[in-house]
Amino acid sequence: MGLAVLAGVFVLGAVIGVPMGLAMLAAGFGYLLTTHQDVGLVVDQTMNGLYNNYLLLAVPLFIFVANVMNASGVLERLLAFAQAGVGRFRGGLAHVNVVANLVFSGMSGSAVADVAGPGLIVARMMMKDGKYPPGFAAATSAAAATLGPLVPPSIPMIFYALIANASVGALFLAGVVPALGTALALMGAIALIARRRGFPAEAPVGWRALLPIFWRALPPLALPGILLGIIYSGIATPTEAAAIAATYALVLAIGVYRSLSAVQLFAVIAETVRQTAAIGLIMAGAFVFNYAVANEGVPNAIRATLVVWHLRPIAFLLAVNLLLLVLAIAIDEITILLVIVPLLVPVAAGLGIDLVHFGVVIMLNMMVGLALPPHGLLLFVISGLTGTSIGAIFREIPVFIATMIVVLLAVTLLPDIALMLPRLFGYAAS
Amino acid sequence: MDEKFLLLFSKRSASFLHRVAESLCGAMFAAVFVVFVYKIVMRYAAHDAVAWADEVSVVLFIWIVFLANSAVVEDRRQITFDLLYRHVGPRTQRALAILRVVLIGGIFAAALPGSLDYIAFLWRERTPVLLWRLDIVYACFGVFMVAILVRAFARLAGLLGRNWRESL
Repeated sequence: MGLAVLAGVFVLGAVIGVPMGLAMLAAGFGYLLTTHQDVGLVVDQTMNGLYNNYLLLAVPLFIFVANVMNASGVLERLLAFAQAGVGRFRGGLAHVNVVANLVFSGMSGSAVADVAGPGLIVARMMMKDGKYPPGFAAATSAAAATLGPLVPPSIPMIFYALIANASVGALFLAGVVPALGTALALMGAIALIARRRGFPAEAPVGWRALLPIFWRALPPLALPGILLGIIYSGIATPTEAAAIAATYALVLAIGVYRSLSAVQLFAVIAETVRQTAAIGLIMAGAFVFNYAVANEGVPNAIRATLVVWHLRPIAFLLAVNLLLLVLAIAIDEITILLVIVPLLVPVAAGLGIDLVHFGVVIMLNMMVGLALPPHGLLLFVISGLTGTSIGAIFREIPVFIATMIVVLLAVTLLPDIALMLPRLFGYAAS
Repeated sequence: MDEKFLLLFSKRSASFLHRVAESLCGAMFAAVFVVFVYKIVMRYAAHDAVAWADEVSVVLFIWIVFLANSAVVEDRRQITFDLLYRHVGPRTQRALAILRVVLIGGIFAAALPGSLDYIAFLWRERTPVLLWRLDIVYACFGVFMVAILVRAFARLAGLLGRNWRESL
């Protein structure tokens, strides 16, 4: 009965358009009311959950970093860098899109910030003068922006670190090689498409001009490296590293580039507060929801079922991929991460799967989900921002989805792709 | 007071509250940031662990989340599954919106007394370092619940009124 009310209120609420976090809170209240428990437990779970998970404080700080960078013209420097590097190839601007997103996601923790930042600008450049079909341009931006969760700093990885009790530093490192692999795979797909459809190349930049362009882009390019260095050397905790990254971004924007006015800074803070609150509400809801799910014994039931099936780790990982892709058709990525993944982590641990590897597999699934029709968030964001019809984007995205699924399968079957870098820095994988 | 005056008054006071809450949340975010930087600097410069810093930043974080969700974040900025809502006509949208308000408003109203009771009951507990009263620290959740109810009520009035299309 309790479980039916919990699931019923959540699903009904979500389907009729209640914000996900609010739907989870309401489901939690409904559950406690019908099972005659103290509704104060909702307060207890949300507030203590937010209070005791200190790592969550990194989230608003990383959101702030992305917004500062977005507002301060860093983007143009990174675009010039990407264009100088890969613009000369056939389908040049599409390649630029991937590289710019890869680099920019090293500053932002969220894929939505990426698609609204470099993704939007390059998509507009691609559509200008009819160089590329709008659907292809928008689809490229959406696919490239999915790199966000995999490149440090990554907000989804921070959530996962909390859920799985895994090291943030190891997770950040583990994302690097798969992110580069995904970027290369996407560029491979673009190269094939560009040749077949005759997309243009950009005028090449001479070697002598490359150095100053690189020099101008270096300070923002260095941020992921600085972050990893700070976390790994033990100078600061991941949460403090987020504050240091925010300081770095502010010094760059105000002190070095002199491109962030006081008015813009206020706007950036206001935007950060909104994004933090929207994600915070989901976190709060997830604490309640997960309490109720655990209280009803769901995780144990799942574990017991899987034990009977005698799943091997590989079979379990493939089943998780399939499950998450199916769920991604209907549910948003953050909700999947905060509600479904906590049910899977204990099973994965029980099967002896390394939880850092598992985390990277989850992130890759989230990436595919972010660009997956009919509900992929990035598709709608870029469609809204560029005015491209969602249908035109749907027609162009399958190639990129297929490419990402190939990378997902590779990382699933070969844990070393994710784990080699953390191991190099002394992470002892299980 | 006629109806128009009431409507104007409630709109004005809502936008005033919105601005106040927005500035307050912005200031609190800036404070979180400053406290962090201070803490890191003090640890290396003065070998002082600044134990209160973590507590202050966490409390501010909680207040930002619930105060902003009470009065700053617009509904359309929330993370929502809107696949169904987007594909139906205005009349169905109105029905869905009314259902939404009744569902959330109803459940929150039913849970409000118990929740406020629980928060009030925490008066004897205190935060570990600064010994702040927990009922005051957690009061933001009560503020949030009341705000959700007030917003639901205002939305319902709009949806049931003659100009319901403006409330969609």
